[in-house]
Amino acid sequence: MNPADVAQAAPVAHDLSLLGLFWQAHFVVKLVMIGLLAASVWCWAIIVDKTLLYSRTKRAMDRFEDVFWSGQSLEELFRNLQSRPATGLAAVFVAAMREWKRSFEGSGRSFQTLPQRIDKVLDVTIQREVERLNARLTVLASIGSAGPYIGLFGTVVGIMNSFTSIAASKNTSLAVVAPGIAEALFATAIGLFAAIPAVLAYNKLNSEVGKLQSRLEGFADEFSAILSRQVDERIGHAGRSPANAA
Amino acid sequence: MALTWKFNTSEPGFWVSGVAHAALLAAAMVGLSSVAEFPEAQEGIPVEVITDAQLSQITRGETNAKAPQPKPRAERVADKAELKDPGEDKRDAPAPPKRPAEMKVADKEEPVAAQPPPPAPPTRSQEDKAAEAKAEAEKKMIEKAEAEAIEKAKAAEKAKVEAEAKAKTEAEAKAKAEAEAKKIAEAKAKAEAEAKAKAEAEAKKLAEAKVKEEAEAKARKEAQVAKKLDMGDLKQFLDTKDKHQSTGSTGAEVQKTASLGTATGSAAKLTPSLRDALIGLLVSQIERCYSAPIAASGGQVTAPILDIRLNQDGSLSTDPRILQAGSTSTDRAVADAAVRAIRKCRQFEIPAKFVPYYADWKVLNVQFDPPLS
Repeated sequence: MNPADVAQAAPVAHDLSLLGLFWQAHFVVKLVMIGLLAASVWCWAIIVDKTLLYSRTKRAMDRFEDVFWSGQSLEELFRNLQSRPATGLAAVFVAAMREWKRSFEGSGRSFQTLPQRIDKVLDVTIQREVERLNARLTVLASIGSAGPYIGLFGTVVGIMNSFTSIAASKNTSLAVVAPGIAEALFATAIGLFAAIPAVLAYNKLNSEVGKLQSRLEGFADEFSAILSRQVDERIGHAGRSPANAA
Repeated sequence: MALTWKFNTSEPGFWVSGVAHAALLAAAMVGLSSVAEFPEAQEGIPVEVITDAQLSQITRGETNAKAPQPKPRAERVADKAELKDPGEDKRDAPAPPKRPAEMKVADKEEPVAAQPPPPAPPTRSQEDKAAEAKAEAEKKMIEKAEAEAIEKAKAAEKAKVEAEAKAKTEAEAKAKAEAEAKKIAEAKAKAEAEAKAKAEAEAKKLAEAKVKEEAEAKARKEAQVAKKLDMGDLKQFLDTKDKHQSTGSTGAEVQKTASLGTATGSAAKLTPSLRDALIGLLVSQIERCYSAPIAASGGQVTAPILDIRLNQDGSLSTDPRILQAGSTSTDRAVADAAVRAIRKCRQFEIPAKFVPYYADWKVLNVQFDPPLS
């Protein structure tokens, strides 16, 4: 094959637009590109969902704390919240109140271990809430760490393919080599395109989850303190009242 | 929490992300479809900075130039130098054929020759005229001779008739006389006939000579004309359809190879010792012409530095100048005296060994230490 012919034919054969790069790529490189593009879509879906979820949760917490510290009766608040599924602080509050109520509803009034039980319930609820907030953040972490590698894999396959083509055509003109390498590097570009936002968003969302968690724990500690004070008061009252009654 | 395909206001992430990616891809396809090409690379030109002095002394060519092409082998100097431009074709164009001067010209070929000679072309030479005049004179002479011969013959006839009539009339009285007369007449007639024949032969010979001369004159004249303005040749020359042989040598680029120059790269320089020797020679020659001013007869004198510019034969190329002299009037006087001495010397003797270094001693700054007189 005449090198001049190849050099002339090369620009015609290689369309350097994005679609052209995609269609000329090797099968494996194509798969990698499609996978990375899907990962990018998924990753951004998670980012959007989580951002909305956290802002919603934060607003709900603000509202709940306003109501909680407004001096409204806890019984009334519980009655309002009990009817619908609660999240965040409300969930913690409802869980603790439910345990509290149960302790008084039964025939045997067991006040001795009530603070421990409330603490347990609070812990479990916080854990559940945090788990809910954390869900799917690992996907972001995975995409962020593995994306460049997947893209690099596509690039290596593409460059291998391109080099075998060079060997076959026995021509090392840059016009022959360049398109293959460009399409191979396109895979790494998509990998980075998916991974960079994933890593950034993962760090940001993770820190927000941490903030929310500490807020939940802070509220739980406060509420637990309030409830245990109440329990102590009730024990003192009850200890006197039976005697009084007797 | 699985991804839901239905649009959910609380979790719109998948749709938002999908739409955003689609939009981004579309934008990239529109925006990145045209590939920006690199601008044409301009090659840099290596530049070497040299001083004036280096330029004046430079003899160096291009260090990495190709060796000049060897001249074709020649064992003796050609009698006729034939110089050709590089683009000239190897083949020599044949010279248009030329008619030799003595060659006779055929009438049909020659428009000039086709003209009949009698009308006498105005550009007839002296020789032609003379020849023609001579021919005419000869013709006249022949005609005259013929006429004479005819007249003589007529006279002879008449004489004969008269003699016969006389003889008839005188009758046979004088038979002897008659016979004698007849004999005389016959002899006379015979002589006359002979003279006539002779004249005729002569005339014929003359006529032949004339014709021959005429033909020769014609041929000579035609040869001359052919030599002067050969219309046939010109016509043939103009009719040649051959293109110009040379169109100039062409190539991918104009050849600009510099000459190789010398190995040293700059003009030969005097070694310090040679320079000292030359300056010493000059000073000793100046001293010979120098007469110390009276003011400098005693005491210390600052030696002036003089600017001497020389030609290759040792003569002064410009007037000498004082570059540096002491501040006192004595010093000035000494310096002026030195300049006068140089002017007086006018021509210095430079040994032949210094000639190759002329570039270096063209301008000399000589410190002239005046001799203590």
